[in-house]
Amino acid sequence: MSMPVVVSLHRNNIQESWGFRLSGGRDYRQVLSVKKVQPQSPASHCLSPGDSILSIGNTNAHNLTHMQAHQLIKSAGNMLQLTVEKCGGQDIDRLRPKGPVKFSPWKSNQVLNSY
Amino acid sequence: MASDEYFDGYMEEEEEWDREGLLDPAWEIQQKKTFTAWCNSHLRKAGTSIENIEEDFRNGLKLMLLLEVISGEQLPKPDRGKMRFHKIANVNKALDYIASKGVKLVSIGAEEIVDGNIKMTLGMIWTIILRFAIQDITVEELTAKEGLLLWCQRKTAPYKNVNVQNFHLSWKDGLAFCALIHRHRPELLDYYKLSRENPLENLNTAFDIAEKYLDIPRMLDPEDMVNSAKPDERSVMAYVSSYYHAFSGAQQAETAANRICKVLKINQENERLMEEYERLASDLLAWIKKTKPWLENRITDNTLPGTQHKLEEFRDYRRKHKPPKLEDKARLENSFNTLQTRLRLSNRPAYIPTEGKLVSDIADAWKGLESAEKGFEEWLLSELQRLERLDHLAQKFRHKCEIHEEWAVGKEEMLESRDYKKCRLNELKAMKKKHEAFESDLAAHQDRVEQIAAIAQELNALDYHDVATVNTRCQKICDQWDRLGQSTQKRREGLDEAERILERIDQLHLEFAKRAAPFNNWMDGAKEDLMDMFIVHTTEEVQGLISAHDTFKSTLGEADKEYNTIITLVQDVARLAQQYNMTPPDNPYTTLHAQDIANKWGEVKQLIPRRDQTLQQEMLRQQKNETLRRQFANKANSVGEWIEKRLDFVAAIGVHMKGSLEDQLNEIQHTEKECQGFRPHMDELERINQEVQESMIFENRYTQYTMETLRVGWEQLLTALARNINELENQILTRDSKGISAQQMNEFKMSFSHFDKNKTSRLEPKEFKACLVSLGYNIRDDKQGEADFQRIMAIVDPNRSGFITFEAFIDFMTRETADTDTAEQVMQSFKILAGDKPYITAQILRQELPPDQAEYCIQRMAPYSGRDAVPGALDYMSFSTALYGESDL
Repeated sequence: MSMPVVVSLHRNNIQESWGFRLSGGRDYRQVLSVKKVQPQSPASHCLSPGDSILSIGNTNAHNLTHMQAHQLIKSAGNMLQLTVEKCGGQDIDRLRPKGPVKFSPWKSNQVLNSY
Repeated sequence: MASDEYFDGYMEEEEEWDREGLLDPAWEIQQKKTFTAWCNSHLRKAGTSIENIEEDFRNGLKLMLLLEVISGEQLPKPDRGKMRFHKIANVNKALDYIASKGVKLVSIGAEEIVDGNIKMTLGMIWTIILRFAIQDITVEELTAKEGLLLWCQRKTAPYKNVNVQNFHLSWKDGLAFCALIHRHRPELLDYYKLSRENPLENLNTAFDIAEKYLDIPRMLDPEDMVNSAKPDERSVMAYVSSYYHAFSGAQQAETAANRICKVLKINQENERLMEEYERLASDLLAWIKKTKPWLENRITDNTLPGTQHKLEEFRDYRRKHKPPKLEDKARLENSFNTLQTRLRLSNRPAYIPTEGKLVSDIADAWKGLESAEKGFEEWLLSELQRLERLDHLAQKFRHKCEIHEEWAVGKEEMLESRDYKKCRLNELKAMKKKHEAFESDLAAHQDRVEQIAAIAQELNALDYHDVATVNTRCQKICDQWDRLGQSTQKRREGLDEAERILERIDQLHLEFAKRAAPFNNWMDGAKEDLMDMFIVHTTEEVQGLISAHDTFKSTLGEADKEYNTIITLVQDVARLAQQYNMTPPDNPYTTLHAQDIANKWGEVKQLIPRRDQTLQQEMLRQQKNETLRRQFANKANSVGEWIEKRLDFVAAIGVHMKGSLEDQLNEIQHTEKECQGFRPHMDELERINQEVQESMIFENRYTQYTMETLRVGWEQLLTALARNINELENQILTRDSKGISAQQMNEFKMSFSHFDKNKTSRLEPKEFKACLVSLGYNIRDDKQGEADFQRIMAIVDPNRSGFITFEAFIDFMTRETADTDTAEQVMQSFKILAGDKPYITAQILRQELPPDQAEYCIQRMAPYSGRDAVPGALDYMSFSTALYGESDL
């Protein structure tokens, strides 16, 4: 996991949407995170899918429910400051094996030895 | 890429236009009719129409309007002037708009349109038709024309007498139009009555129906179609494309509605499962809360019947009340797992029960119940044992008290008597001897009084319920005993004082007194022994009592001799008295009479056979208990072994079994059925156990099993089987819903169980990583690899429990990258129903969805608040994301 970073989002008026989709929250027992980001929106270039949200403004996001976080972000003025943990993209497909999987125990010897 | 392909197709059309389009006046007439109708089919939405295609587009105004209607977009404001340059400007705005959509208008200029050049006008309209009505038809990435052709071929494939190869000759007989209509709306015409021989009739039928029911205006003239050698290709294409839009639009809406229904049904079913879980959890927790205090209460009313009643209550609890609750608990856990699997499979966030009803809360409460229950039965049994012993002790106390009190009657009065002050010497001598005898008698009774006091003390120590009566009686005896001692001392002093004055003895009486007193004492002791209470638990103990009794009986010969001697003495006195004609005097040396001895001796002899009988009965009872113990032990040993074997089987299942999931499920279900068949054995054992408890048998050396251990084993077995069945069913559900082949499933399983060393059906992160690598995952052995692995962990174990279950593993392995059920798709589907608007109305929802789902949506959708909102507009976007626990910001 990488170091947390602080990002600032700006919008021209409070009707404009921030341009990202929020998922998770304490009520889902999942870390609040960014699900997707609209291109050409205040959030593009600042957030990317998979980023975990650690705080919203000065509020620690750890104990917020989905709705509380949603309200907090929605009611922010024209500037929104988020502390996020970048995940480096959600793309784990590149790690997947190509074609049907085949169980080959010897491949994992190195993993077990390295611990 | 896609736009390049479009241009290829478009340019091809363009060349065709140049080559053929300008040449044939018949085609021009057809095109005029068709294109005019086509333009009007769109212009009517704006409440206008054209009559003459070369005239009515000349000022550019209706042309711009047409483009706005078709595209749904706003064009720049038209110039309102009537001058030629105004018209040219407006036509140019229209042409610019067409060009902005990526169409090159090679040979069409605004002047020619304004001038009313029919060929140019038709060419421009064709360009518009091609761009806005046909270009969007993409079937398997073919050009627009080929796409439309392929669509027609597919839709008419089932109709043997239709063969669509082009957009001219193939349509002449009208059957292709009819087939298209019949394929989508079979109720509108009776296709199989049509004949190739009546082209005019076929065409009219199709065109009429299309106009009346499909809202497609007539664009072709049946006579033209039949009479021309080759119908105009563009006219046919324009008309056929209207069919495509009419049908594919309906189809799209249907597909969209189906998708929404599918997603909503999943949500409704999940919500139902959640409610059921909450209800079951509340009921179970309430029952536990009610039951636990009763089990925690370790106080009895200190009486044997009260305690036995409590044991019966506990038996009811253990056999009738608890087992169904245990089933409820298992059902609860299983339905929780099923629900979570369903949620995962449908990409929904995990379900979190309300505060205090988590699975772990249930498990904790249950554990609390079991720990309260633990030792309850043992405690009750030991309490029963204690109370039984107390009861016997109290009985013994009463018996000894009775004997003593009987003995003590009159003793105090006798000792208080001052008779020796006014008697004769020989009487005094006798009195003194008598008193000595009494003193030894008193000493002999000391032991008994001590025993009584000791028993009373033990009863106090063991908390006998009626200890007050015992203490009062004991106190009375002790007080009296003290007084007796003092009185005896006092009387002795009186007698000693008078001894020097008075002496005379009666030898015969003396002899009698000497023998009678100890014999009488011995008889008292024997009587007491013969009526002694006992409590035993084994045949050996009874045997001990029997041999003690036998020993006693062997001394009876001696006693009989002594008895005869004593009686002879009395008889001698009587004979002497008779001989000398005198009334026999009272024996001054003793209070005992020959008759007393004789009676008591008679009693002793009667008590002996009664004791024999009591001991024999006890022997029989112990033997019966022994038989019961063996009966219980035999049954318990066989049941225990059976259960242990099944438990071993259960321990070996899970991910370590071979064969397909269905085979495994069958095997476990077979065992479960076997268990159901085995239940009568458990019931029989319960019956024997009840008999054992009722016979007050507390230990059994023939088996290591107790009823409790077997019940626990039995319940463990049933619970484990149900859990395994549920797990397998969930695996099958996962496998089937994701379409995993048996081969793949097997690879997953082999890999998982290979790394699940301690067979707990879950992996630690390290094991999981090795497992992924063994399945071909490219996780490198460096910092990047570790970061990749942490990302995978965040997906597989979002709650950070620190381990990976088989289900989560399968879920991850089969996670699809595309076309999963996502918020996006639901939103897209609503958008189709909403006719591309960002909001939807209750009316549309009721019209497109089944009533159940429509109301579900209407209740939950928030009002739409965009600037373009109409009254009653609903926000389907936030509704769609909320279905997946997400929200847009």
